[in-house]
Amino acid sequence: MIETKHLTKKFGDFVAVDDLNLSIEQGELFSLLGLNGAGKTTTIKMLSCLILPSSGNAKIFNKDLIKDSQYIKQRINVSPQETAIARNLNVQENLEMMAGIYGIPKNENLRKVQEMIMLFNLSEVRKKKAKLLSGGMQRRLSIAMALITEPEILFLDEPTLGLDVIARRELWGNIKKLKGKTTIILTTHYLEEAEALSDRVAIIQRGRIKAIGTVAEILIQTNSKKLEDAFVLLNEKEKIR
Amino acid sequence: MKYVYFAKRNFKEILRDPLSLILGVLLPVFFILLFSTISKNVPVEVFKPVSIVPGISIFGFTFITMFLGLLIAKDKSTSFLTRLFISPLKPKDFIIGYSIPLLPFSLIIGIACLIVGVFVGLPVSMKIVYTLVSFIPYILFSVFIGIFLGVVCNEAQIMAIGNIYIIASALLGGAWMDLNILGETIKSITVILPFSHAIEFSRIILSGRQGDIWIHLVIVTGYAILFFFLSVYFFTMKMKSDNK
Repeated sequence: MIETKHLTKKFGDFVAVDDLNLSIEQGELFSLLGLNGAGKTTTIKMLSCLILPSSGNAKIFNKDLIKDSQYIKQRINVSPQETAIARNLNVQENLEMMAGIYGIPKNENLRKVQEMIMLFNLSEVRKKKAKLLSGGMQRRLSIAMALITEPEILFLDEPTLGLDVIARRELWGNIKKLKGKTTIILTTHYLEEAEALSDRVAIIQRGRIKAIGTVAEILIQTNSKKLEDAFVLLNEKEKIR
Repeated sequence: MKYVYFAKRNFKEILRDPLSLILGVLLPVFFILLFSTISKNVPVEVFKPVSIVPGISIFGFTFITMFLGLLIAKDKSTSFLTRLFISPLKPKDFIIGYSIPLLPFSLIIGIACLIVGVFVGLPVSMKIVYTLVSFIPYILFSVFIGIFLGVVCNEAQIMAIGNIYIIASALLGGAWMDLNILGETIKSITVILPFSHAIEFSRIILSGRQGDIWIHLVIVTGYAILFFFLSVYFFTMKMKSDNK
């Protein structure tokens, strides 16, 4: 479903993503882990056609990331790191707008809005302006806005950032419901989140993949007991170098 | 037709900001009433309804520029625009989606000013309808310069530039003063800007007096076209600039 070949992004002299080679299967939940500035968000921005790679390429749905961006854009969606919502619209209006922008017909639009409201437990706040929602509710709405277009690939860029434990667990529940149906690329700083949700993870450092596989495989590779230990070990190795 | 949903959102965003309504509609209406009251004691030509109503209407449209510029700048700062850049919307969809909601809103401002104008002494005739139509080139200019500023500037910059823009449009347009009192140097500046031409164009239409309407129409329309292309260019550049 997603295949990157030597995907590289440079900002001036700074190499944000360096020679990334990845293959992600349909229905897989794949997590990108790394410290701040490791290249997670830049990778997502490239794969979601927001920024162009400096070199290398990627195929999504067997289509060229650069040449066929309009085809790809129609079939993917993103929940950005910041809760990018229309603040003066209510929950229902935000969802209707996003479905409409992706060309979903009006009768189907209403059905999907209802479906998302139920899935994300937003019925009590459906008529509430987005700016008046709690941080957790805004996150849920942001993800619902990405999901309402029924993307084949969903990019979740640090979806639980700033959420309390309860809100985070609730969101995990929502993400788990999507597993197997939607291909999900997740970036997160919370390793227990990656451990709980992911089919596979990749640990990125300075734009390069340092380890990739299932959590169990990474634990064996690094001779660690927990993903956090493996993550710290790989990052310390890098510091020593 | 994807832009329709985006346009609806922009219309609601502006409408739900009470400051938009107060500044956009009530302020020009208040000014017309104020200057009409003053004109009873100070009988100068520029305060008469046939002059002050077009002048204040054009002044009112400058707030359209502010609303739109701030909306786009906010969309940039909250990453809402980034989210939409990932969607299948194309640059033309953004331009149309941001422009369309402001057109009925501008017409509401124009209609409100003209209705109040009737109450303060404008004679009821078809000239009022023609005057409303005469606002269109300047409304388009206001919309496109709003998109341009929104794309190029951030919120703080728009607040600063917007204040200068509003004051400049009022002073250099001659909305409530005779431009001759500004002196030759400043008057020569007003000639190359669209504000005084937009006001004079509508004043000629409303009064029915003789005047070279075409020069005013061409200059205002020229500015509208210039800022249309600038807004399209800078918006497209903004979408591409994220590609660097």
